[in-house]
Amino acid sequence: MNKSIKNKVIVVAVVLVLASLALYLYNEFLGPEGVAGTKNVSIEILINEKNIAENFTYRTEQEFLYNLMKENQEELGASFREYDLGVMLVGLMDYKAEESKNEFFHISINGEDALEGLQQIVINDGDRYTFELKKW
Amino acid sequence: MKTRDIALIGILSATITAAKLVLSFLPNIELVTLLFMVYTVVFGVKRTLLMSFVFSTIEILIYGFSTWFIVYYIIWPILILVTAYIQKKSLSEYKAAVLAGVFGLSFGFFFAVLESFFYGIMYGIAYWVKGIPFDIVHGVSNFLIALVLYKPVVNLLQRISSRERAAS
Repeated sequence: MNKSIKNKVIVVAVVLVLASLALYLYNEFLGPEGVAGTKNVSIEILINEKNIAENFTYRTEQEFLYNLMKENQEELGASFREYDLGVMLVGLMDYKAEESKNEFFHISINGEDALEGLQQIVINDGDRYTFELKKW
Repeated sequence: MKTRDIALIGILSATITAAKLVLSFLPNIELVTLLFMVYTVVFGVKRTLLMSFVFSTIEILIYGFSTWFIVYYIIWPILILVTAYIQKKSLSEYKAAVLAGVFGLSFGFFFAVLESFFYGIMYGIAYWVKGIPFDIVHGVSNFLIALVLYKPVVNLLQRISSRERAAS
């Protein structure tokens, strides 16, 4: 193998190892921590285009919202799209947000805009999660 | 400015936008950084600064106004100016890769600084910390892309550019 290519392969390997280490350390020390125990929460789904306004209540041991939704995927009619870096909610009540119409599911927690994705949202007792179909 | 330059800036700005769109399904993996660096080296700072202005404006037309557009008008010119500064002493593929990597790693930080002006410093810090995994992916992918593609793309464009100059 050409020396220059060999050097590049080594550099690439080192960078990938360092990146993996950095991601591991991030998840270990800065990633969100779940809350253990039983929690009572509610999920509200609003899709005005289809006149859908549903409310679900759950008693759960799950620590993150994504896990709760995955557990009740059928009842919520939820669908997700998986990316290398996480999961995106694309459908609820069997309605899929249409990208061509700039639609997405806006998430709010107790009336305030969510600042994180489903996999990072920590479930706290009494939380109310609202998913509303909106356009950007 | 010559007509040729105006046409060149338009075409190359289009390539940057196309490169952005074609990889937009991959979070924070992009060719825009590489192209701005390469264009700075091959076509010069002035033309590339104008390309960055065109590119940022097209981004607004596609995605709409929000706070991010302010950073776009600042961050790409910074990359171009830093590339030009380093290039004076010769920009090897390794230096290019490091520059692209550092740029990708600090991308979220620039936005966090701006967000903190609008929503407060705590929001800015939260914004930055939450985005660190994306910045790591951005930095690493930028580094690898520049390491592999910087030299061949510069060589190719320099050949084409000198051939064009000779013909005109």
